Amino acid sequence: MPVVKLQSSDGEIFHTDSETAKCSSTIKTLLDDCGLEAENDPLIPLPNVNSAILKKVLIWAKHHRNDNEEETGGESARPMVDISAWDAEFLAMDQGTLFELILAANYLDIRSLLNAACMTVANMIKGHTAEEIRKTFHITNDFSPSEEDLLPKEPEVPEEDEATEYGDI
Amino acid sequence: MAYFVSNPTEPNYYFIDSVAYTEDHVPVKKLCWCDAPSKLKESTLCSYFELFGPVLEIKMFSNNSSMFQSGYVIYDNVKDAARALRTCNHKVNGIEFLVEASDSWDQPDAYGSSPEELQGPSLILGLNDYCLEHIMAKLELQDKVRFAKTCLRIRAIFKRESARLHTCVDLGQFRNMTVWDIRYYFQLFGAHIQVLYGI
Repeated sequence: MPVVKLQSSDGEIFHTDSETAKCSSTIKTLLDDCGLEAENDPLIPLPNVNSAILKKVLIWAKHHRNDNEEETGGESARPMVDISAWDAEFLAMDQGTLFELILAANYLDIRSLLNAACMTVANMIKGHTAEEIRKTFHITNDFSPSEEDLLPKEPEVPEEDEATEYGDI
Repeated sequence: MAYFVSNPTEPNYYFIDSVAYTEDHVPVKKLCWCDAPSKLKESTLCSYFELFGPVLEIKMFSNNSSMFQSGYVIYDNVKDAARALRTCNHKVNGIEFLVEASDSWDQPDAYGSSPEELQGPSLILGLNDYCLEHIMAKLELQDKVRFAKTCLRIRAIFKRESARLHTCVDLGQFRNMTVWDIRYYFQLFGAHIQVLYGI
């Protein structure tokens, strides 16, 4: 099986098989369409993913590399799908890592990892009040007192001047 | 929605440890009434409500043509407000009237903690808008509304993500939502709604 080298933003190089690497649509496009796979030991730089996150992405991809593509496609079409027990355990991590993983999944275009990770965050939001959600994610309430409840009015579209509309000749 | 469907005289608040909370879990400090006799004076009502504890503010809205007047009272202490709310028969000068908890958004503690109580940066706001929209897409309407209430950026994302989806609205989706959530929804999307259907 051909080996692909992936270089993280901090310079670490990871060796992985191309099947695992192709869980990422971004990498798959590079390998298939740009002809990188034909090269010997292709090296793909990933400037937006650090080594700690790339390591996690590769663990996830290795576990899911044999997933049926149709199934994965169906999963992204159904936004409310439950996450598997393996994914739930894999995604039990601190908030900082989880959000970095979401950004990496977005950058590498790994739909099912993005779905599972976003579902994990959504589960942290479900059933809580706005105040509880703020506390969970350390969100600062930046509404001014007037717009917190009574929203600012939409700018009114200026009405056309009738004189202009009908001509003034 | 339950508020409209079920008996409207049913209280929309609950008690835990001598404190009353609205259905949105906001501690109740502000009480209101709408059927006090118009001949009652503010000073009389104020001394009545002070029997339960110190009153921060009391206001009455009377209309010359009406026999009744509405008003509100704000207590300093939640437990005093709860005691006043627990009293079933409010009677001043031999006349009974009904006292209820004010709506969640009218309560002094409706908007919770001040920003300085929070520590550290918000990591979730480090996500780009696309990822936040993706998270939003996985929430039911009530959770979306509550998430949107947290800060300006998330509200803007909710509005952008949902505005075009909310031109035609099924009232059934409000069934489990509180009045405050429904109110917030209509403040955000009211201008976009063209069709309302369902019961």
